[in-house]
Amino acid sequence: MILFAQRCALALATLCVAFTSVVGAQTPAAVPPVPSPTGQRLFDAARDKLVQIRILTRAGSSQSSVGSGFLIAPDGTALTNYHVISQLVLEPQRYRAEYVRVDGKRGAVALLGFDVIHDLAVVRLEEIAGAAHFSLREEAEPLRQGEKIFSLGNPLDLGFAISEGTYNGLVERRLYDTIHFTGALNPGMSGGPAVDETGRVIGVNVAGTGGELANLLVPLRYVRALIAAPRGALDKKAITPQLIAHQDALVAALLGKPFPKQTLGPTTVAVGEDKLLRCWGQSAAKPEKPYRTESIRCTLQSALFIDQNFTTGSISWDHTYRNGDKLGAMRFAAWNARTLAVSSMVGQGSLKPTRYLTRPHCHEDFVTHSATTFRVSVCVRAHREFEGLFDMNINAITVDRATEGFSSSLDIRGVSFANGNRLTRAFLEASSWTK
Amino acid sequence: MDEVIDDTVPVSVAAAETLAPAAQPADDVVFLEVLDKHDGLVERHRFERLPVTVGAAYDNDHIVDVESSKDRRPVAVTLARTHDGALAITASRGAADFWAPGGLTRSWRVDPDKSFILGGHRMRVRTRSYMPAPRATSSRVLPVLGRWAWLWSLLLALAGTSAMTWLGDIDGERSALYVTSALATMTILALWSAIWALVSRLTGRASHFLAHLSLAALAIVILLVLDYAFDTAAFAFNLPAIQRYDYALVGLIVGGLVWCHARLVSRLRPNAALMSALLIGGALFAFQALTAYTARGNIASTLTLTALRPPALRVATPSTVDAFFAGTESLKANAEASRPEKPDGFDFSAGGED
Repeated sequence: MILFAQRCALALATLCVAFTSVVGAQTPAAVPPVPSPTGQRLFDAARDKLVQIRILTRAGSSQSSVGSGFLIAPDGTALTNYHVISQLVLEPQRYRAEYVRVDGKRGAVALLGFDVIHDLAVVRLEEIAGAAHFSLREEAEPLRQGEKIFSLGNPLDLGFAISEGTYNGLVERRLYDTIHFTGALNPGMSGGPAVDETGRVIGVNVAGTGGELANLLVPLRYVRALIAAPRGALDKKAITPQLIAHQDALVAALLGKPFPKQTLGPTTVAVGEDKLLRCWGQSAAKPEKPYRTESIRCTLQSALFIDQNFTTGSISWDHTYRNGDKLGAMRFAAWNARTLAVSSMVGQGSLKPTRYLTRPHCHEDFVTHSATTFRVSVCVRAHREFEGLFDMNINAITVDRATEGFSSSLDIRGVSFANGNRLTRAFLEASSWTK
Repeated sequence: MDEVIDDTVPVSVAAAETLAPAAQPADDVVFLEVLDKHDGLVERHRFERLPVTVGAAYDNDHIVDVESSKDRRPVAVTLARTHDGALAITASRGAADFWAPGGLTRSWRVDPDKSFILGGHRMRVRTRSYMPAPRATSSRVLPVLGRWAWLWSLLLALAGTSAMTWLGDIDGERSALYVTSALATMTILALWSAIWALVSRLTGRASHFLAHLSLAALAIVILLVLDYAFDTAAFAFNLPAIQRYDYALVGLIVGGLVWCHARLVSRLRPNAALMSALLIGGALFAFQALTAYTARGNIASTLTLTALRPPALRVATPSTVDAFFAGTESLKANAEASRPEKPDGFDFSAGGED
């Protein structure tokens, strides 16, 4: 019986070998992709300097989020993104962090400092002494557009990887410098290093833009500033001064000079400094419709990640001109009123207190300036975790013409009350009828 | 002793005189009907000639069993014709007063549609000439509105909802919107009226569907007109509070409507009608207040004014930019005072630092 089975197995193996030989003879030999010699070299050199950073629940050690990090000193000092370790800052009683090296070794992670504005964090990887680490590219050696750079990390928790791309200068219209990296970045690579062809760090992976291969890196100068900064508090109280500094920079950039204005139909409205904000226009006028609209929407890329459910520090505004000559005064007024119900703060679903925000408080009235009468409402929500900061929204809609009007709405997140008042006032004063 | 339960308008003795046909042909045959507390007939006694005495003692023509009471006077009345031929009930000399519409009395001129109470027994008196009232029709239930009330009130309601649709239909080409809103209005009216018709049928002899329909349609018209008027006032006088709490108006109108259905058409007792109105109107108010509270943390239906009207309707004087931003200063203190308010549901921040 055993002999019979052995014979069958032998016959089957012979058949398989013969079949494989035939197929192999009939198809051209598969050519393995040629690895990028630079990429291969860089990855080999970086293996011991890369880590995956895992955030785990203290209760059950379940994995809550993952990111990447890299060693920058032999004592275990490493860099990552703030958003990778945000739960350690916000809820240290619930979460802890550990690192996993390429060879699978793991250990605890201790927080040393963080920079919410530029999304950076310095950590110490415990039980690593005398480890190999990355060096930083010199400031005196700026990157040139088109220069090849490589991003490393652990995308989608699939395993460590290297991605080749190009340096494309700094991203335009942002409050803070950010490197435009034309190469693949996937979730999980956040906090990993971007290196030049010599393996020196030129930036830190931070985010995708949603565009194909258009991604963002934090420049090295912010890394140096964070490393050099004195170590202070490491809990969420340390976030407040950073957010206050951010909103001061934001308001200074916007109010440094008078609001640039733009014509929108028979109106003049505030738009942003072209080098700072992105504005998009839209026109909706169809002959068969008894109305037409023109609108402008501006946003400043300045939102700061606090946790998965809360970002702040952003600003956006929009203006919409409406003409309803064929609607008549009553229907036009009803149409115009829809804007009041959907302004950003008033229309955003639940307005009850959240973990981060109080419920809104509003002040409203009819206001006249520059021969234009508005219905204006200003709504404010205080930040519950970050004292001295507020979300503010102003919504102004003209009420002085029977069949035409325009509305202007400004939404600011995480601003001091004084700065918010300055901004909303300047915004309102920049809008008026011109004809 | 029970008080007299009167399901129509209370009538005094004097008023009863005007109701009672004083010039009835003299007919000494009378019927004494003993009723339950809902005016349902328990027993009927025929008497061939007057006067008829009713009382606890066995020397009366009709004997009633009297429960013990503080009033030790005997219970006895005499039913007889007065000098003008009308029937009247009079307490016997030395006997206790009895209950008639209007309260305790010694004498009451008989109204064949009303009852009196003697020794705890509800009774009424009718003659052979009494004609039962014909079944009330809808137009008789609400005579003020007229025979075609259901038609014109329905048309008004449809016109009102169409006007609201027209205000919002800025594209001006969606005829389906008007049909849909008209159908929705008619469906709601039909269902509401059907429910009340059932109530009427259960509590009376007729359903009065058209009367109920008239009331409901009129309520819709009143609601639409008042809602628009309130929003207009909120805009015109810069009083957003009018709009914030205008759902109280809905509660009031629906409560009033329920009372009209229950009392004027279904002829429920006053207390039952009032209770129905309070319950349904109050429930509607509470539902809207809770909905607002769930969304905003307070019972205002809107955070800021959401109604605009043509400029000609604005009465309030606009403020200056300076004055407006002086007014916003209080927002800081208000918002900061709100910090301790905790969010509903799971509190993510609980635990470590606290």
